[in-house]
Amino acid sequence: MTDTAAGARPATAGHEALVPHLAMVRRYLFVLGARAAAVDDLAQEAFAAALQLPFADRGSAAAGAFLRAVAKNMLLRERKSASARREVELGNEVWRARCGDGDGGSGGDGTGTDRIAALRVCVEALPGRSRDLLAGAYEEGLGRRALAARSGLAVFGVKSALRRLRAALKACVERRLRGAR
Amino acid sequence: MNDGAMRVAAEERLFDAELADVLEVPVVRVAAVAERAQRPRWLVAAVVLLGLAVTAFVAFERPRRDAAQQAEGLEPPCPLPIPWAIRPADLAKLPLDSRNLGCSWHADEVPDFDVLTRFESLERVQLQWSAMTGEVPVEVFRPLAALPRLEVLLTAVPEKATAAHLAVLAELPRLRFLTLFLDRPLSADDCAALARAEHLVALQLFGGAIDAAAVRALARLPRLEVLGLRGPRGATPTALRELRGLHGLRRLEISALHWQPRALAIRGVVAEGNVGFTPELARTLAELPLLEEVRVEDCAVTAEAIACLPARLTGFALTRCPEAGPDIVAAIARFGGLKRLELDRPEQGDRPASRRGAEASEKDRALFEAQAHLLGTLPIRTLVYLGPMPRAVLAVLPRMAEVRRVECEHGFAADLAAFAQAPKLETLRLTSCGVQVGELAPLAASKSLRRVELRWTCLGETAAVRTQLPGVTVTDD
Repeated sequence: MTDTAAGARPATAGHEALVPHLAMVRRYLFVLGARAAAVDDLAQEAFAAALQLPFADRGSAAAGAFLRAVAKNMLLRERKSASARREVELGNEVWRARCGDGDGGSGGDGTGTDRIAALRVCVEALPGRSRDLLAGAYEEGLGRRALAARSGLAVFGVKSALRRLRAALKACVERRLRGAR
Repeated sequence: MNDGAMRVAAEERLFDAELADVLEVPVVRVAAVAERAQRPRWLVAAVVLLGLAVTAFVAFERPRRDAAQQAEGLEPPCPLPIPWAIRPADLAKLPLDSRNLGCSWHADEVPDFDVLTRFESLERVQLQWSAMTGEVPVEVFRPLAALPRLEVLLTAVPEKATAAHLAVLAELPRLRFLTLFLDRPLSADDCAALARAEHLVALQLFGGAIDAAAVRALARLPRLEVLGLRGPRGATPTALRELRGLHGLRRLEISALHWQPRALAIRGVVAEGNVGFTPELARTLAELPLLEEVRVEDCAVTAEAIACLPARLTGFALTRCPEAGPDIVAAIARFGGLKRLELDRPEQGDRPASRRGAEASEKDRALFEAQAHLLGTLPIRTLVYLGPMPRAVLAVLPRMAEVRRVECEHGFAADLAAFAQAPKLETLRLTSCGVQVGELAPLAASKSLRRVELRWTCLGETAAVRTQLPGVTVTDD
């Protein structure tokens, strides 16, 4: 994800502290259950809404928490049914458990930056064939048939290989985070 | 989705979002891969739902459709009783709400069917007339059009009745089942006239004569599904070959097309020119795409002919064919999906089979064993047996896992306990069976029996039968 989609400009010097958190807000909204195609728009709306609110820069963690609160409330306004709102709350719980809540009590600053860094290292450490598979599937958007032809796997084998690759990356991230702590 | 599943989904989304950031691609692309991976689950769910839907259809819709077909099916309604007026004047004595009646006219009398229009509930009517003298008006059948519920008509067709008369008959608005007792040959013009009967599904022809042109013209009847040819002269190979044009035919009933020597010895009648149920006729029937049932009665038949019939048949009847031995009965086994089977105990020599089960000859015992083997092999749901049911057949009833309905006519089963052991038997009909009330008591042991239909059996003793069979609906017609 990049920050180029954010078109809004900070209204005050304090609001400038929000800008680095746009990528985090996109991830957060997605975890809360926002549709992938709507994540960018929702993140911009959340940022624009945050600009209208009084905000004093009390550090990066506070800025991130402020933006997440705005984004979550926006999403909740869209969700009418109890189960949809429950999905948002559970997504928030998962985020806080994995990325922290920004108050220093959950093993993270609330932005998930350490997880991103750990995942980046894990991806870079992948063997060439797995890296190719990852790039073909996610960067080039190839289908299973094309991936199978490229990697020499059976069509059904591609699905299994991707599932194993994701599991390996998740395990790698957890290992690295445990080691860092 | 419960909380646990929602948490797992959120974890997956978190990883997708992080991976998208690391790979610097929009999250929508990573999500798309995840959705593709999830798709088979939806496929599985869809397949499961489809399976459930099919199951529900089979469980609920099919019986409803079957019931609907029963109401609008291929069996003519025959509400009982059937009061009969031996002359038109007697009609005045019959209840006005009669649904079924018959009436005879003197041989020289030209009938006026207007006398029947008082019976507005009539569904079935049988007309016996010949008008030997006097002119028969073309519109003679017209008054019947005033009967709003008339579906079944059985009528004589005297020599004086022409195609024009039949054309009027064909205009009866709800006529679905027509039986013609022919006193003259059926012509192609007659069939063309009948083609106006747009609701007619079943045509039974008794006596008279047919030829190739007439049979060919039957193909013009728009909804004909059942055809009965009962002893018409002229049923030659050439004429029967024309049955191939009756593409909508589902059931063919043939009777007395060519009697066997043994039957001729009994009845002393010769059907000139007819050939019986031959392989050639069977091959013609095999060309009919919708044919599902064949009933052969009182007719010469060979195993080779049965072997030429389409194996998909779901109904078959082989009755009053004393020449049909074990080999012919065994040939029926080729219809692996048979649901309805009609068999009989052949008449013995020049006398009918004893109702109390006379001693069977060696030849008959072989036949009964073949019948029993057949019944134990096929998934029969409806069994009709004419004449006293042999012990070999009774013994196989407990092994007939699919049989739901048994009809016994003109016979008596030595031990009705066998019926109680048929695991899924729901309905038992006894017609003209010499059964005493006490002999029905073993039926009470059946766990599946729901209905006993008595027709001219245990007359006047229905109440006693009901007492013996608690929980079973007993009807007495």
